[in-house]
Amino acid sequence: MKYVPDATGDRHFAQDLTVDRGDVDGLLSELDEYAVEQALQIAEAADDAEITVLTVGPTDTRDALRKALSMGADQAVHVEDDALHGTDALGTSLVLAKALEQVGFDLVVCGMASTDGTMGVLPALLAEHLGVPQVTLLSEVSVADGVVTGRRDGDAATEQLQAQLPAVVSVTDQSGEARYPSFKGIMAAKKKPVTSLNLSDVGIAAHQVGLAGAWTKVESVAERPARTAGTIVTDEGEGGRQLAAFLAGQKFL
Amino acid sequence: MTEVLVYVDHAGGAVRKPTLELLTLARRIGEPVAVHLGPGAETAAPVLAEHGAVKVLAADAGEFADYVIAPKVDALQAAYVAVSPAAVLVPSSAEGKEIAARLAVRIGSGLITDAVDLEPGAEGPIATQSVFAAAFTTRSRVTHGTPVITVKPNAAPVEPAPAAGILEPLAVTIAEASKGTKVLSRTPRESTGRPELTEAALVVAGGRGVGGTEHFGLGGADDRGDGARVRDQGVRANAICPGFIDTACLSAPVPNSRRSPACPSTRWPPWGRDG
Repeated sequence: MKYVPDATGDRHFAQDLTVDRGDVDGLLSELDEYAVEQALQIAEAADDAEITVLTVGPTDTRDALRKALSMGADQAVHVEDDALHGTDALGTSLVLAKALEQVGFDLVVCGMASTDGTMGVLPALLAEHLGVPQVTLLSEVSVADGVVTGRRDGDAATEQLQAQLPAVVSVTDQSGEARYPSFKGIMAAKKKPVTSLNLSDVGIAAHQVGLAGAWTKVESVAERPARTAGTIVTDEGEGGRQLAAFLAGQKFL
Repeated sequence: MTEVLVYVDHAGGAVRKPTLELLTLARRIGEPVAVHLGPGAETAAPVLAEHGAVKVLAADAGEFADYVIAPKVDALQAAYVAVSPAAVLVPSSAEGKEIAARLAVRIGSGLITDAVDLEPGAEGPIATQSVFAAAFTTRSRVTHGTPVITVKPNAAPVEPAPAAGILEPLAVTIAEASKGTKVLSRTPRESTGRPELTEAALVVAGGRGVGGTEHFGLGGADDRGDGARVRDQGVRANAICPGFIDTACLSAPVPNSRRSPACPSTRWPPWGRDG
């Protein structure tokens, strides 16, 4: 899961052109809540499932882990290291894959994308690193007898997919509303174990990650110019027609 | 001349518009070599040639349909090895992004997703991205390996630029490990006969406030209204990036909190109406 800057806050970039994570309140990426929810449902349907939530990021990132623990996850693993600042998606996927190998897993459940970077490639990257099947962008998912089955609403078709565990799945925002943490859940979360790992714990050298280790470089960042006043069409029964005329006037139609 | 791999998004050989836009961008960097996987290469090749493909590498295997993503990564990797391109361009569909991401890991190269423009640079192609609900524009490049870049629809105009477009078979070996995720069934999404929402140059989303199509004054407008399609398809499931969005009188316009995850590049123009 990912801890992201609040989309309703004033998100911006720091001087080194990384996302400024210090100045804006963060939270668990909303799309990852769906992943937690589906993991909880899968675990509830199984006899002896245990849910570990995993994230990479600075100290504040723990807030996201606590949220997931308060929703019902059993334990958390936090990969934290100063050298990670500026790591790109490929580097992050490597760190997560190494951490997953260390922690052990039968099923990795991810959100469909983060709400800040919005790349949506991490689940595929994890599957590639881990050498396990990817069953991604599922709107429905279930696990039985060591097999994961789900419905992928793809670009041009809806597909019913199936793979043997271990596997990596990602779930969409159509998979079902995430539950709110109960008061009891919030209290219980305070006592749940959070393991902290650094880069050497997961077997990664500092030069493989961070801004210097990234295989992509942001050359420049420009803020969108302020909006200028537009044309207001007041609807007095003919608003639609006026609008159409405006569009035609601008040669959009 | 350097060659640029362009991954072809198509439906049984009918090339989708974003791929033709990719050919326009690829020509800025080098000679486009198209990679066509699945059936219909003979149909697609003349269209790809017409838009600048010097070569069309084609492979068809049952595995492309029977398993998701990974077999196509094997094939694109085979094309990469055969061509040694200066860059690999892939349409920013959900599948395209996943294929590109896995290819980048395999060939040890940097990855940029959701570019809205691409131009040549002294140290490799520069990709423009639109981030944080289009509040910022970034310009980035890949610094390691062969740039793998996925490009959003409407990033460039479709331009005819006739080239040879020689159809060549691409030898592909699908690894056992790539057959991990079986497709049990597939239901193609029903075509509405309208452009894909993600590919539309112009989205007009009228709500109940205008009281029906006849009040819109747009002859031949979708009788369901594109607003219905926006809601049907789940706004967040789609990255909509047309040049213009009009959401007049839509009772539930794409709200900010919902817009940002999937519509980072929605460019709300100054003359757009919101709500």
